[in-house]
Amino acid sequence: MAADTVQTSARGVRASRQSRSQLVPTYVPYLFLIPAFALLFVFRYIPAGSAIYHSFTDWDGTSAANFVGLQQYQLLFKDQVFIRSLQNIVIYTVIRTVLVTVMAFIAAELIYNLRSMTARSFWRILFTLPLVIPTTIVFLVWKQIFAGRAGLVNEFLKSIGMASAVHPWLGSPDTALGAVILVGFPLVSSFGFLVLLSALQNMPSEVNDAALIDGCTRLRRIFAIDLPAVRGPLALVVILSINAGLQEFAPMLIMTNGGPVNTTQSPGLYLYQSAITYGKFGYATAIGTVLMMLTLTFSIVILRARYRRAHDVAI
Amino acid sequence: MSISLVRRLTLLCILFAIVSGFVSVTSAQELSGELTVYLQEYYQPDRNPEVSAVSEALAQEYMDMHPGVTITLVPLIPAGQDAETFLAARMAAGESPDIMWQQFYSRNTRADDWWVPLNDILEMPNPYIAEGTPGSERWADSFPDFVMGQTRAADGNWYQVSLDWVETGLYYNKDLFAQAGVDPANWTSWGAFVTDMQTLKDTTGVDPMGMYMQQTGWSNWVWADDIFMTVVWGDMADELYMEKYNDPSIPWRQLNPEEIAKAIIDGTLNAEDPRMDDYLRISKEFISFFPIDYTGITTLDQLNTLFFSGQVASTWNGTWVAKPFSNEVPFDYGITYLPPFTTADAPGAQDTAYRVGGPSSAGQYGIAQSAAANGKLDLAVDFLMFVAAPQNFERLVTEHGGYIPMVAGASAGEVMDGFNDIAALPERLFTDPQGRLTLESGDAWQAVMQAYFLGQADEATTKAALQQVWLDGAAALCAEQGYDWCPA
Repeated sequence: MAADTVQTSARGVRASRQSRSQLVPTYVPYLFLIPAFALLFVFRYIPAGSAIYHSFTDWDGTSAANFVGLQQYQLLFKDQVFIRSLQNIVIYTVIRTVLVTVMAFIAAELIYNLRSMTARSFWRILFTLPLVIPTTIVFLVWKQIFAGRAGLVNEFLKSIGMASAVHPWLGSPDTALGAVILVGFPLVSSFGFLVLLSALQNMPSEVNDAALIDGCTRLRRIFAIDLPAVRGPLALVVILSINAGLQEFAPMLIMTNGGPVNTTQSPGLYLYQSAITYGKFGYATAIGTVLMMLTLTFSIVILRARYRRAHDVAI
Repeated sequence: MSISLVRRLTLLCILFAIVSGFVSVTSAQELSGELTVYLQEYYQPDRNPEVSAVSEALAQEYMDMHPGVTITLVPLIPAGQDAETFLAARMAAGESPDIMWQQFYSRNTRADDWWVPLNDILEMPNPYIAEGTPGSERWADSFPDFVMGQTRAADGNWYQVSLDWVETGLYYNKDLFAQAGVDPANWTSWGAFVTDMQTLKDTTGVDPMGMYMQQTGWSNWVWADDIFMTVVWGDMADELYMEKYNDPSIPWRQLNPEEIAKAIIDGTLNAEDPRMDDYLRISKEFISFFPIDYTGITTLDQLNTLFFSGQVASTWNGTWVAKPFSNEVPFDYGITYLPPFTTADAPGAQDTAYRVGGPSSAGQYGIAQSAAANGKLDLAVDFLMFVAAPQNFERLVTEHGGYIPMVAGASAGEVMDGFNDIAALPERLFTDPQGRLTLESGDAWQAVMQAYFLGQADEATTKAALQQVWLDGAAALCAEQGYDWCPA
């Protein structure tokens, strides 16, 4: 009886698929992809291809471009400002990625472990709200927080009797990069937080219930169950954070203009300055191409690491 | 027969005169088309509706005179990165405003890639200038020689007309100065100035000078750099000038990029010269009076906030803030300037300070190459001449109140109040670092100086690095311009 039902059901599905394929040809869904692909091709692939092509030229943005072979790349790897910018952005990206991911995971865990759904919603909204503030405003606010005179950090230090610790946070080569890295501290309000919280909330509650019944502590559960379970979303958060970090230029442009003494110079900002200020579009596209390769390499390495020893919990 | 020939020729001449007159009249009247115009600070409807209304009125008057013409005014974009980005993107797309503002040294770097050379146009009469007034026969005559001298590009061309000018000065807090017993009238030398500034700092606890310094791009520190360079090289001016640019009626003038490049390559200008020790010393003394995060400040607006709240005792700013300051500064303030420099301060000094005035103002207009390519050159030239006529430009400049007109016949209004003594000083020998050779070379100069100020390089290293910046900049300019004196 049961077997008959299964057979009947399978036949029904096949028949339904057959009738659908008779009504809608199989290529039709692909037609719906064409507009999206066309836009992607025009606004993403063509500019990227054009940038790679122009990196082999001396294009100044308006005149005809002359082919110069690898000359721009040769100049680039001799350029101390570019080398310094690469060092800065690697430091910035690594520290910022670790901080953002760790803080986002801690925040997600704290909210996930709240029993009251109302409290969960409240904290989730509270942590998410800052995401709607335009980043330019965020950078301007943090610039004022780190300001030498009347800056929040220095005023706080003075108020607790630590006037000797007052420092030009953005104006000193020793602290400028650190100050830019800490923008947005405690860094819980991020896209990563939303992704990780959502991944935790999608875990079957039975898994956690079983662990608790077996006497597993919350801390052990986080490391033994939660972390492996969100490994996929975690890799996504790390990849996105690295991609964003390597291409970062807005905080440097708004807060320090790459200074002092290039301590906050980033390849993205240097690209912008080379193209817009100096009219060296060929050189700028070479920077962009190197940056693209770097981002691609990092992403592939992380994705490979994520899948090499993956034992994901099916959730 | 011969009479008939004379008659015929006379008739022909009359006919030719009538036809050519008709053609010239019709060509003046037949101007038509659409023109986009960026008047910089003279058109910012949100922030300065009064001056914007004058710009709109001028555009309307022109359109009434030329019914086939449509003028579209482009509102102000903040100067600096924003304006440069706007312009670079539009130039790349061939869609720049037809008449456009740009800082003269940036414009001269782009030269004829972006801009129409105006040499021949400046030789033409400006029909909107009253007969008998300078400029009515030759447009260039309506601009002072020193303005023409400072805005000439390294290739010898003019790519802009500079209709106005700025002067700069130290706006100072009279209360704080009085509290410290400091009177700018007593500044008879750099040494006296340094002593007073230190007293001011020790007595009031505020930073004496509202200044900032970026590693790239403009900051008000560059003005100090211009003066200090002029102080130490001033006595060498005659050796630095190139004969072809000399004018007996102007014995002292600003060096142009070609002269600086040639002097560097000749070895007359050498950053490792002992003179540069004084330059570095004076620069470092000056920096000690800046706010502690002078390398972290990125805009003049930030300095204004510090000045208004009494956290800096003075700020070096331009005439363009004179009008807003008179409404916004909440205390009694005055305008003063750096002291005269004596030979005790630096052997090359000439017992004077130098004015930092220049064409970095709102009325620097050029015509985009895209306008010429689209057949709008005649219209753009005509409208520019219309705006540049003294009776028209005076209306703009008077309403704005922050710039000094450089068009013969246009009056300056009240903008010069407090700046007359400063304007009487000799001009600086060196312009801002970005205008000396190339933009990139200027930024490199600043980066080296920033490293020196922040203790990352000693004097010897700094001088060697500055010399390398100069050599690279001079070589780049030679490669670009191919001057006949450049080494092969």
